[in-house]
Amino acid sequence: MSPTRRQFLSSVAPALPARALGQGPATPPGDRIAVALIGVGWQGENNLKTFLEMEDARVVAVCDVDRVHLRRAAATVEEHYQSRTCLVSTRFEEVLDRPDVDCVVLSVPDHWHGVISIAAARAGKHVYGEKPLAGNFGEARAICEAVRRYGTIWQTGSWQRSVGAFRFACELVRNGRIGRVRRVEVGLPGGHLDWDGLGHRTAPVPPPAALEWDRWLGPAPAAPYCPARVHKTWRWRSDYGGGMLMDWVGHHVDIAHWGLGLDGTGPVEVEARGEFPPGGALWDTALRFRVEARYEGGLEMLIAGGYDDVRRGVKWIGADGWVWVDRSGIETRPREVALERIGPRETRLPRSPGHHRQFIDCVRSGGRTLAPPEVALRSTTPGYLGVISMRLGRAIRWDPVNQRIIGDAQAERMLSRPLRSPWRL
Amino acid sequence: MHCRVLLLAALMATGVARRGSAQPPPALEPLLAQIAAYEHGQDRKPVAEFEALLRGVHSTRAPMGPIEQRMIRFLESDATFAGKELICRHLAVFGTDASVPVLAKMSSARETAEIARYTLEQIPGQASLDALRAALAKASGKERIGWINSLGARRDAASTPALAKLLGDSGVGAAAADALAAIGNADALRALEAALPNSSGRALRDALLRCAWRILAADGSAARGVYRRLAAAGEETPVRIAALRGLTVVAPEEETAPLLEKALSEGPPALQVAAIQMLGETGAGGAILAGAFPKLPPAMQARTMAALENRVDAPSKQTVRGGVASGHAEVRLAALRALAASEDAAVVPLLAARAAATGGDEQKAARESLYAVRGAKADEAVIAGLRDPDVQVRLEMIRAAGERAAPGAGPALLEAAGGGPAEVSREALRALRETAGDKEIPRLVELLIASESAASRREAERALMAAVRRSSHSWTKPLEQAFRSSGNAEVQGALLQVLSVAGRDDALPLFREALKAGPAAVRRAAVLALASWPDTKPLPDLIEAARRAGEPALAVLALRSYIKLASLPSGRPPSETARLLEQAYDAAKQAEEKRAVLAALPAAPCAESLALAERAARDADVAKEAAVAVGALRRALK
Repeated sequence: MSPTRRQFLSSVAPALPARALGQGPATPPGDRIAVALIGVGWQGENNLKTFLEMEDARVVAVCDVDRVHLRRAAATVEEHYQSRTCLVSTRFEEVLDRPDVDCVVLSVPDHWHGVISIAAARAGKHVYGEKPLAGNFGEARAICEAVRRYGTIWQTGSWQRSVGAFRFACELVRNGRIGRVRRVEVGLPGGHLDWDGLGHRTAPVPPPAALEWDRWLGPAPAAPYCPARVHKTWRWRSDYGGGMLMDWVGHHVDIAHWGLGLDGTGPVEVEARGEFPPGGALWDTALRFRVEARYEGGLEMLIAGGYDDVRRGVKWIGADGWVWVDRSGIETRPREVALERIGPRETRLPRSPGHHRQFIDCVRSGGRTLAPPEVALRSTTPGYLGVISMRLGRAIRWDPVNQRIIGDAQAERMLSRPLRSPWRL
Repeated sequence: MHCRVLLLAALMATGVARRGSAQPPPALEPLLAQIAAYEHGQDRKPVAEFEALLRGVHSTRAPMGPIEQRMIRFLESDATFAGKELICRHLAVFGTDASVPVLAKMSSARETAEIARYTLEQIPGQASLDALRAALAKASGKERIGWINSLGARRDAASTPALAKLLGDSGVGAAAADALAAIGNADALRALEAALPNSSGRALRDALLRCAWRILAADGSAARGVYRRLAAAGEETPVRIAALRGLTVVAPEEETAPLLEKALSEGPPALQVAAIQMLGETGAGGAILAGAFPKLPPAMQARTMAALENRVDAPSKQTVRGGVASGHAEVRLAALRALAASEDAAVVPLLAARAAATGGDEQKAARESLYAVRGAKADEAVIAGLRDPDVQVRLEMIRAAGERAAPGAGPALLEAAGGGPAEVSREALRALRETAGDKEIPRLVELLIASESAASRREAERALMAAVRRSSHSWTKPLEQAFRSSGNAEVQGALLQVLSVAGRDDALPLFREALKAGPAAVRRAAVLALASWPDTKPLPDLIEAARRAGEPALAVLALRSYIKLASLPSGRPPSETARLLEQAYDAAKQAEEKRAVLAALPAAPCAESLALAERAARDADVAKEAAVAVGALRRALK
């Protein structure tokens, strides 16, 4: 047995078909949705706990290239089910090859999204995938095509769509409570958070024995290991993430678009400027940024990160008032707008039983998720174009119908990025 | 530091623009000298300055030729690998044919081959393609994969024969298949098809599916052939599903419908699920699904409900309606949910009956669908149901009338509100909150006056408030008349609440009268009602009531209402708000009200507010809150 394959827990029972393993009062075992988690650090761990709580789902596999994360996740599953039948692997291919896996939950760094998502679609697996949809536009579009080709269910982790306050704010805007909207301001955080205090550890050192370093890099350029490059803070390095802008675009720009009914279109021009770290050894994404996106019909969207003059959250400004929302609540002017009720004959956005729950419901019913990939692609596009504009220091014109950059061959090249061999989409 | 970089970048950009393509910016040279020694883990300061410089140049759209030439020389130097990698990243954005020779040379060296490949892949033009092809020809074993991937990414049709030869290679065949899929022309398709008999791999099949999609517009019959082949039994289920999905796009329904029907009856569960979904989108699918429905297991029947929900053909509608009576809960639930998309008024009684007869998820689904069924005829069916002899069904119809804000439901709802069981009356009044208009207001006033319990009075009051709020007319006179003719203090209190919602100036004299001469219960109701007034006009009345001795409880209530109204946003100057709040502070006899004033002060930042807060700081009971207000005001007034 290869040391990089199969289970590594000291004693693991033979893997049985997950559909045969369910135990519980309400859902017969054979009817449970079999879930595999690929990437179980941080966000993946949160996702794992959420799916474990679902009575009609069964976590049948966990996968991570860091055995510390993997061991912890396996123990959590084992403790929850009081059984050792969960597949534990460092290879996502092994998980996708399992015919008894219905769906996978992807909580891996952005640079891995494209490769694994497309492989999952090929294997006929439904996917709950963390935002942003992919590390770059080209990969995001390829994900959309693969999901369409195989007809699988996809839910992007833009979970704010499943929260009542966000939905209500969008309904107020959609139903004209603040008149015609001319401008929307999206306030995001700025900076590079150093959650675990490892940001200074940038000198190349041998990777920990528990981490398959080359596998962690995957399709990203080869680079020596250092602690600041990996868990959580990978998002501050452009090889693996897109800084605060791309970390949040799938949340707040997603909501801004939802409120304006822009799920099927995008800006016509994006101009951004960023303030990049003047030094440091590794992190190279913008510390602060302002992205101005203009849409057909004159609508303007400002996406600002790290600036005090733009309030965190989403603020739609209309002819008759404004609506602001973020995770702390909703505010409006006039104030009374927030007290209004959406009438039965007005536009009502879909109610969600919870973002993860809705995904499982759709896997079961074949229904449409709240955040399918083509919607996520549109929500993320202002971010992709913003990053390109920042890097080139100039405005980018965009054709939202054909989803192409207009008249800028250099910018066009930046829509996608070559993958390190042997990885491909 | 950051400003210095930006300034440098702007200066450089200007310099380049001025000099055209003659020279690279002077600042480039010292930066490249530092980057030539750059290693991973070192401070990126020179890298950051170099990238800022390039951004400055890009922003002016100045010619990049001189910089490219200098970067080519850099790649030819003995700079570090990390330095060369950095330069390659940038050449990938603006490099031209001029960069190709040095990159081609780098592609021969193991250490630099990968970064050369990244760059060549991104540089458009024939020269880079030639270099990629040559590199593939020279490479061996799995080293070829990267070059194959790049030629695929470039969609290099000329590489088709070379890639086709690699399809049978166990090490690189899958990569070659993917590359051919990306090229996606007729030759690529032929090569992939030719390899199919000798391969069971998923990659080859996916490549065929992608290639077929790419040529679909140009050669539909070739695409159709691929889909037909891959839809056959013996292929993996995801492949069969994808092929069937492709067929539904490219082939006529006469061809796809039987295939989908077969998949539905014989396929593994995942294929059945996909077939149900595709049949739901196919013209003949309704009849096929209706025919197959009785033989399907419950989980598939539930899926069928969802697939049929938007269909209007008779077999589909009949199947969904039949699902409501299924012996399996999941099927009933799915059927009830599917009916939400209906525009058929005939489902209204069915849904109401299910909502009345069930509980839990089924009742919830039945109600939601009952509220969602579209069309004026559905509203008419709901209104007709307001007189249903079955009380439980009638209650469901009443709720539906409210949720749907069914036009024309007012008279029947008023009738229900005015007679029959208390539960029906209460639900009807609740529905009237959503539906009542001007026509219903006089009767609602009567119902309020005639209400026999506090609960029913409260429901009538709420319905009346909602109707008055929606109305564009003044209802002051009739409401005042009702107030005067009623001897019931609770009814009078409720009428004052209704008047406060309208907030019309012509109602204020009645409030003043009630505050001065009414019984205690009415005075209290008047104060409470004025607290809801939409503007600050009642402030003098409230402060007067607050100052009145003899009724401490009412005074406190009036003062709190006053502070609430005075704290509302307004267009008056902060000093005026401070003056109003000072009156409240001085009238306050308890620390609680003083604290409320102090909490409101920072929203009116001015010298007068600060003076009041400073004065309050000397009051031991509220010194702590006053200090907070003083701090906030001083910061705001800085």
